Amino acid sequence: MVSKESTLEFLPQKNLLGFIKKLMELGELYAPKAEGPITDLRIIHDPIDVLVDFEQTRQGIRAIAEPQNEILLTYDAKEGFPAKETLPATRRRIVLWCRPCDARALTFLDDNFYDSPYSDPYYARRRENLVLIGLGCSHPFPYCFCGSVGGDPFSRENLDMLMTQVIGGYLLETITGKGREISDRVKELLRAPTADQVTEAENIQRNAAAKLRRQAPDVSGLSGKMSSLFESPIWRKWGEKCIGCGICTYLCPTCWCFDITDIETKGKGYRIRSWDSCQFPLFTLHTSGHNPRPDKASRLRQRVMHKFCYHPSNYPGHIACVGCGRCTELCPMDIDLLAILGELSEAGGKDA
Amino acid sequence: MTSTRLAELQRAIRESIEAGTLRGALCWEQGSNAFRSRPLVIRTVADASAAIFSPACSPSLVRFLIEDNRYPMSPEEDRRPLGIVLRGCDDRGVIELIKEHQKRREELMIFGVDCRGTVDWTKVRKLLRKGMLSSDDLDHGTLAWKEDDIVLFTADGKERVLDRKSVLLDKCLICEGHTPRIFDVMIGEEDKNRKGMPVIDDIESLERKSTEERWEFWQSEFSRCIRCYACRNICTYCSCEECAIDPRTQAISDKSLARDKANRPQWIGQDSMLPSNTFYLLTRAYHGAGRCTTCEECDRTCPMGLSLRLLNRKVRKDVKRLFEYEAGRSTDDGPLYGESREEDPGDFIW
Amino acid sequence: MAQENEAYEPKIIAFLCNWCSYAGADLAGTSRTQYPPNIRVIRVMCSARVEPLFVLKALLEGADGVLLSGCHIGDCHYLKGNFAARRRYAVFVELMKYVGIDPERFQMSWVSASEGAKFGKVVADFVERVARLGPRKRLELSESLEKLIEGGGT
Repeated sequence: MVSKESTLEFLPQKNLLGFIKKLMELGELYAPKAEGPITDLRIIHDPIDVLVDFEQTRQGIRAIAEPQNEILLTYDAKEGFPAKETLPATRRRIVLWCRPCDARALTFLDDNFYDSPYSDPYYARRRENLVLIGLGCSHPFPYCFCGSVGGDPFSRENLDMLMTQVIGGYLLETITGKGREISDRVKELLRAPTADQVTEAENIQRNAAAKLRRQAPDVSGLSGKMSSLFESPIWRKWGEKCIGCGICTYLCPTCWCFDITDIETKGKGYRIRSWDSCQFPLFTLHTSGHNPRPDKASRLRQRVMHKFCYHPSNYPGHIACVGCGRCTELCPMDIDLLAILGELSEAGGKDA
Repeated sequence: MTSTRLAELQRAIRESIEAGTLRGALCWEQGSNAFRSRPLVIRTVADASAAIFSPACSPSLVRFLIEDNRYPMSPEEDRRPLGIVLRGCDDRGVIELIKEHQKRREELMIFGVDCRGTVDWTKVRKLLRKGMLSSDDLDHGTLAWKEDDIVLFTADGKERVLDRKSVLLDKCLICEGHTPRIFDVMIGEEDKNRKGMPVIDDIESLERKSTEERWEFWQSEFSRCIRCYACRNICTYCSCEECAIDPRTQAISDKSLARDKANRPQWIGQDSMLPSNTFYLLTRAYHGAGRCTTCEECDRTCPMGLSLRLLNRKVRKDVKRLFEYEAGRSTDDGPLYGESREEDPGDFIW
Repeated sequence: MAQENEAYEPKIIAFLCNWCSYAGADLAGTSRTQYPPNIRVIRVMCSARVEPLFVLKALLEGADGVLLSGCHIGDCHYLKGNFAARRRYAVFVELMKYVGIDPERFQMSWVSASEGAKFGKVVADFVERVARLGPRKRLELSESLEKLIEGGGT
């Protein structure tokens, strides 16, 4: 729903290139770009590179807010400390045409890195300077199920602007002050929308959720049942099909686990933060040799439980899944999250 | 597979399960839509009726022999053989596993099947986007072979023949043989027209490019890698529990000591910067020499679309050219670096 | 190739097998054979110990060239080690070429314990070749790490 503070404008198709060029002047621009056979959000150096009609990007906004490789500090290998903190630059990063689900995912990354009493300064720097211009999904992708996990193909959560593709261009809704900073600077490219265009957009937005092919079962009661489901044979059944790679976690827009290592090369030391995954065997290995999650069944259980039980119990109402469907679609063995959730719902079990 | 053949396969597996001769059997079951399937471990007669074999059966089951070694599918005392359904391209991987003593032949009961090609989900996605396939096809269709044709039976009872190039995995278009050479039970007839190693045009053309062009191409491929290790985890020869180039498996073996876990240096970090990616991907490609059977599962599963098949097939081609050696040819072969010949190239050595 | 700084001196990592090549290098030293000081020697027991992993790691850490030297065919202290090495690097050199890494940055040689002079010549020729190729910066880890600091993560 368009709020009272939002403003609606129309961007004609012929002004799109100019719009992109302007965005590139206003900050570092990320947009869907072809990367070999796949599509992903990448920094744009040439406005022609922005894909207008694009597949689901392989990664969400996590790769921008919490990059896969980030230097936390450096030190001289000979002298050691004091170390030099290397915070990210305070530059505006604009994401053009992220999907509403990927924007929603930031709520859960914020839970962990930003809103808690211990805010991560690296994440905070990036997050505060992020401007998100979403593109609503008039045609959801085959594995999407945002509607049944609290989202919507036109959700405005965390977005600064939302665009809806209509005939002849895009309806542009400016939602936040950050978004207004942008829309003010592209005024000459925008027009007042006609009543027809507004109606067209509203219809598209209203009908989008019905186009979702997949649906999650009602998962709201799941956290209560989870402790009784901890030893369920469901985990072993699905864990047996798993090969233990990191695709589900690395492509999930709400995942955030990381590892920190020190690399010393050429007389300088770098403390680097890089992505880690609970699906990796080393993740919970203790020095004693004990591993509380020694097999794929326990690691798969961890992933599902974390999203649907542990995180919501720490942050009430926050089911850490946005329904993007990437984990199922890209899983080499087609492990179906919705099928697992369905079996868990049916398995019943008393509230612990 | 026709319905009679599928019934034959299900019956063969069911009979073994009923007779109690197997501790389990690896086959496929229907996946999240008509074009996808997932592995199924059959332990009961009821499980056997969920088994399918159709053009949707793209994932290779051979990997699960390695998984069974590390995360056993049955209690240790159960020494009965493990059943597995093998297509034509799978037998090479199993032969390599037997050569490397990961599995003994007697430990396996092989159900051989006649495969005429399995689908590439990426290609199916493209057809979906273009509107040439519908949501309905995904949810209510079924796939089958009629000889070499890939047939989609739609919800409204129609039959559509899909163009092979537009839906099948690239490797299926250059199939070397429909049926496995090793088996205990053969469903259907053995393929007697086996073809030799195919020539890959993309590799030939890459070889003709300049050093700079090749560097640019591969660096742009490697830069996409996110080090999810799907390629290593799905590989039919990557059986090392602890791998030098895989830091997430560092010192996880029961045999590793506490001090190993705390102190062992890493060859490469967990980061995904380009030099690290180059290091990882090149080393793994090299480790495939004489072991990689180009099942192309790594290529299929790579979420970032790296052209891994152009690396692996190149190594396989070179090994054949340099040493007349092919991985997966016969369990009587020795390892590639365990043998040598007079004619081994040595001109590059001063 | 354009040099980045005036004082480019190639850094060569040389893997020498203990029984033949390391002894040969020793002999070159005691015979006062002149050869360029650019090599850093790593002694291994056999040329077969050197995995392509080592070669790549050397290049990652800033080596401009990698030399691998072992016993002559038939003379390996462990009988067949150098046969394996010969096969290995025939494969690896092709792979290097294929992905655009200049195979001229890697060189194998057979140097026996009595070939002090040959060792000197091998090193001199290799250093000259690598000097002509210029510094190998593109695979270096440190470059990528530094870029991350300015760019803000990839």
